[in-house]
Amino acid sequence: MLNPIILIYGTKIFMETFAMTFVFAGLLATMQMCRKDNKINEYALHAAVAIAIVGASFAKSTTIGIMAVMIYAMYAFFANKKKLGGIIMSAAVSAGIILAIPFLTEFPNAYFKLYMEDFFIKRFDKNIWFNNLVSVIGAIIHLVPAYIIGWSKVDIKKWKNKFLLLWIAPLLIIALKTPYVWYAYYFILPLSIVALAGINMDKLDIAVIAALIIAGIGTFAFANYMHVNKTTELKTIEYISENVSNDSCVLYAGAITPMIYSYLEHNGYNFNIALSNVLWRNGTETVLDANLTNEQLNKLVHNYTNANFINKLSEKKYLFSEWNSMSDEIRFITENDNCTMFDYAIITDYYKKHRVDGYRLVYSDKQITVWKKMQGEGVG
Amino acid sequence: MCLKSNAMLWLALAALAVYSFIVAFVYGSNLWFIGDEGYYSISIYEAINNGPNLYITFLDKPAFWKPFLMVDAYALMAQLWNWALPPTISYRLCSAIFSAINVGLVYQISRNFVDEKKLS
Repeated sequence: MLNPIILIYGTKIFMETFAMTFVFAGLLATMQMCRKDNKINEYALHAAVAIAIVGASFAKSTTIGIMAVMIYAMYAFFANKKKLGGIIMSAAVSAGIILAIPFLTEFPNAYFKLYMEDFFIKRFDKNIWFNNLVSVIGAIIHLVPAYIIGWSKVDIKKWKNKFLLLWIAPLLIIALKTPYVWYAYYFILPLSIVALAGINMDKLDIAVIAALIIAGIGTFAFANYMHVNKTTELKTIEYISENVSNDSCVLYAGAITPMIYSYLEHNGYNFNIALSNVLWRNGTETVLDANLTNEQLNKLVHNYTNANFINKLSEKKYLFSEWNSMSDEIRFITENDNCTMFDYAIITDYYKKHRVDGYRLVYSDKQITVWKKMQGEGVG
Repeated sequence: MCLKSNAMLWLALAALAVYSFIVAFVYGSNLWFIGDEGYYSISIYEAINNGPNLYITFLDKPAFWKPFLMVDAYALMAQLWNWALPPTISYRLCSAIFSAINVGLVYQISRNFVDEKKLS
């Protein structure tokens, strides 16, 4: 039986895809609403726009919902100013729904904190910002030949071209703050439409553009393949399956790698998990800083139940990403009381540089180390 | 203009198809999780097991690092298709379906902009 977790991948791009389905559907409804010969019921179109805004907000984030409102309002402004009021009304209704949803849960404060996080989060980390900026540029660079050819003939006086260029404005603010690669997805459409209108379709243009696009995406696929080849999860699972029996007590600390978690969970391992806030702050292997000290890690391994870190699971009503904090707290500790004296400690990336006293290193890879308790110290 | 531009759109879609083929060919049986991907995978897995909610969960604890809709939609669709399809397909179909919907929406939006007659 395949473990479902390992089948659920590509979740991040699914999130963008799902959110953009709402954004695009709302834009089509707005375009239809603004047509002078529109024959579709206006209330239905207003409802569609409101649903699109709510959907985009809850599919990914309120930032994307606000981006949708800005795009629809800009379109109405250029195409048919009389419809601007309708867009604002739809946005107001959707805002009411978005503000009401948290009160249907037990955690309205956490929900509002989540809404605010998207706007005021401090993610400007010099280590990852430049890498991300390069990846955003990299994601659209294979289209540059088409853009250069197309944009040179664009009539900027036409309102539709003005709109398409302004579409990018809210994205630039987001991109400057958090230039994650998936935001390129939001840039490509307006930039490409502007270019399409200006391209002459003689055979040479088509051949050159097609060759460059295919070469670009081929390069991407190769780069991604090389990246994937570096993953250490499968190798670590292989080591665990061959060397760690499932009646062992295992500590799994650091950034959670779901394939390892999934392997432990579905093969009946006795284990506990400890995660730190660094995980939430960065979430990628490119980050260099770790704020759990060697001493704290040892305290965690040797005295798990009394490791005096603040936010133990039992004391928390819910989990939240403490992106701004750089404290030494462990943000998440599971409480499997049957496993507190660890035979093995699987330590993932951020703590990898630390040593565990009384344990010997039995496996080491780029991001993961496995430590085994030395004999003579007893096991739990 | 319309025909030429539509041809360019088809060209772009063909390039995307080639890209998809290359990715599928290259990745093959490799599975990978990068950064937050894995946390969402676990949340979706829990939504499949525990049913939809107005917030996501992580290791059965309410978690507030993303809204609920993506996780719930993925879980509900995967469960729905799981009745008739093997999990290797049903768990991936959600992404494929919404990608296909987006291709249609992008095509329609682009056509409206490129064809002068489509806009008022």
